[in-house]
Amino acid sequence: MKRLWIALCIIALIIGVSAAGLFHLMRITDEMEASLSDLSAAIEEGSNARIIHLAEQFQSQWQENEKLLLRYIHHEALDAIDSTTARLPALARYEDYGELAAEVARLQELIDHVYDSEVPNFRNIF
Amino acid sequence: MLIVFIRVLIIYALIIVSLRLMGKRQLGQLQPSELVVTILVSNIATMAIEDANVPLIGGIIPILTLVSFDVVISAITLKFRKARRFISGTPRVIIRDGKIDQQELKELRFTIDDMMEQLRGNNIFDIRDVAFAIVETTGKLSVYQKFDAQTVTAKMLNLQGQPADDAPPVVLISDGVVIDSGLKYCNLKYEWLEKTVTENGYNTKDIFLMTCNRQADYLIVPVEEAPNKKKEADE
Repeated sequence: MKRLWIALCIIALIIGVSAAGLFHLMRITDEMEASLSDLSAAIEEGSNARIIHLAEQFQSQWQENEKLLLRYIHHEALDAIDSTTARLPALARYEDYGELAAEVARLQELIDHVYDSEVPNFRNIF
Repeated sequence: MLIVFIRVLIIYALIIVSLRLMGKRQLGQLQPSELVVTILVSNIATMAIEDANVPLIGGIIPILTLVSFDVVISAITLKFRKARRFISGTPRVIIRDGKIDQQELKELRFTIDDMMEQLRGNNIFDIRDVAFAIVETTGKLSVYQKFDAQTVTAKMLNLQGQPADDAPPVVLISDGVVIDSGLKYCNLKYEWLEKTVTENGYNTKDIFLMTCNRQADYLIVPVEEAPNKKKEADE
């Protein structure tokens, strides 16, 4: 009977940790997407100083969030975001806004994909 | 490389804990559901160890989930007979009253060779000696022999034994170390042990193995000298 209770506790813990992970990912995704939207708006406006600031801010924000994401998300998905994020400050500094806008759009897709692939829906399960 | 080393240690510890959680039954006789869990756990563990791109938690969660569900399923099958039948199946009689049930053999996809092999595994070489043979849910064949083929027992011969005959010998000294639980089991005192060992010309630390039963009938196996030391002593 003791084993059964341990097993039930482990199941409850796994469900709890998985739910917490999903909520954490949802919060991070929202934050990152909001930052990317700001960056897109700044690119539209063409204000160079603000674009550089937002690009650098996004990079540090991502580096901070990635530490925890690495513990439960497949590393390949995060590596793709990592390499794209690393390009943003340089593209902003050298005013290559066309490429920067494309990379921002790519990042939005990649971040959406990470979240979508973690949601326990019919498509992901089967 | 160090990452792989650490991951192996963590997964190893996790599997040890998981097998303990599944219980001793798991090690000896695998039920179908336990076999499935064992195969899956070994595959997941390999993946988590080898692929550094998979977060370790991606290996830990499936292993813990499988083992926990196995324990829950075991608890359910313990309580509900129908669930037990569904998950583990039922034992099937393939020889009844000395007659082979060929239909049952076909249903189990059990060949004559399989049956004979299992009978030989039970030390039975003549099928005429078998009264009942049952294929257990683990796939093991249990055999009940006809009366005239059964091993003669004390009960059959109406022999009266002593109560102590039912108590097997236990280890009292293992590699020079006295096992207190063994002394307690034999209702013997440490003083008796020391006296017996001295009378036989040994010290406790010179004894490799000493067993004893409740009638104080003992066996002593002394420690063998290492070949090099023996040579030096001879010189």
